[in-house]
Amino acid sequence: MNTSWSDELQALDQVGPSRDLWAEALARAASSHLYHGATPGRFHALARMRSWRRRTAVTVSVAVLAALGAGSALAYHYLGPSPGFTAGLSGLDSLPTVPWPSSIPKEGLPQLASATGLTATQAEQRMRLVQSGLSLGNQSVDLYAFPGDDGSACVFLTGSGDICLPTWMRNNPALDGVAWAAWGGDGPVAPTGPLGVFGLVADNVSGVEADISGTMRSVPIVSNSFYANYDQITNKDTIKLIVRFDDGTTRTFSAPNPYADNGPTQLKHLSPPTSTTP
Amino acid sequence: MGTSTSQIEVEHAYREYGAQLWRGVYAYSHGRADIADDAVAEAFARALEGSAHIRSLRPWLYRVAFRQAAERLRSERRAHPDATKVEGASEADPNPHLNALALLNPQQRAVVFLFYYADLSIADIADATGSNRIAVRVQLHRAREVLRRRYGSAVAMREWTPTGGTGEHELV
Repeated sequence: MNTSWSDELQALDQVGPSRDLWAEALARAASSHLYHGATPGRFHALARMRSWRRRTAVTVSVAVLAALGAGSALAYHYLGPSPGFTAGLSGLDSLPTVPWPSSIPKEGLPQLASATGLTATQAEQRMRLVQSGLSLGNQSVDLYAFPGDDGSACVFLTGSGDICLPTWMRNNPALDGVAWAAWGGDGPVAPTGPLGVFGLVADNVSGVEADISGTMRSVPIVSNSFYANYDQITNKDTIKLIVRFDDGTTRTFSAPNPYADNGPTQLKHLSPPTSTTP
Repeated sequence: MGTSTSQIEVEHAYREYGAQLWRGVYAYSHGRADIADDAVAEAFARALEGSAHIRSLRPWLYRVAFRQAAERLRSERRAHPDATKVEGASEADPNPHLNALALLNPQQRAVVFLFYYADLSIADIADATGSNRIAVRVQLHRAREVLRRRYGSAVAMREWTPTGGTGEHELV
């Protein structure tokens, strides 16, 4: 091959990303608060992440809220309410509040509260136990959640992690109000292991299905939450979530496999919907 | 200009040179579009989260994206130490003609890309690669030597250079 290196550099003009990475970046930035106690190194990395986010959460929230405010009002006027949490979380709201569980570290609480328009005390006082006695591998886990202000919320799977739909991202069409995550049990250090798929959906969601490498499973919605346990998946499996709305639309979301090589340190809870069908 | 970056600037940065950043990671990872997709999305996500603390966004994005790609490549090497092509890599490589750049190591590829393609200054390249100016010049020198041995002529290396250089290009 006689192509010179400068020709090669110029040829790079002809390639580029195959999808909208900006939407993906927005989705990744939405929320990712892990407290999974896997390896020490991983734990410290996550601790740094929390501290880092805590410092920026308020600044970013204020800036984005201001920018989104006008757009949201216009979108609401012309398009109607968002199909996300703004449609309500009545099932979650109706549950009794519970004390903050000891199985969920509180060190990230101020940050989570800020992202959902609350103070730490308010967030703590809104905590609900939405599902209990769930299985994740050989662990017994519980699902907790608290509703935030203005269509935001956070959901927690004990021993694994949490996912929030912050106030400043709730109108992001890439998120569309469905907050969910997929995570393993004892730490994704092996190529295989259990998987828990969990999240929250708004009142206008009629059904949720989990799709693991093409195998579909209907997941019951309990008080706006859902949870599906898989005894074992491999690092090659694909993880998707199909959400059906009352208006007949269906959206498909993808999540990274937590057992994939680059999964553990960058669990990306949310990704833009890959398809929308009327 | 302020000392920090706003979220609006991050979006503008994506529109302005997101594709170029992608190409940089693509070259760095030797044609791995999947790695470039992941690294660029992650870099901008982190920029959105920490925009208030980023002083110079463009080099910062490159640094995060390159580190992301490096980590991914390392983990793949650990998982498949004997594999020449990792499963999951794009089978239909959209740009399979990265032969000359394949002579360089990833760090040299990054430096060559940033200098000749992205037109970054030596200082910004040092920032983008987590290095210093002297190390960048050394990397560039070594990369050019490798390419000179393969292609025989330094003239060929200068047949295409970016416009709007900073003047620091003459230093190497």
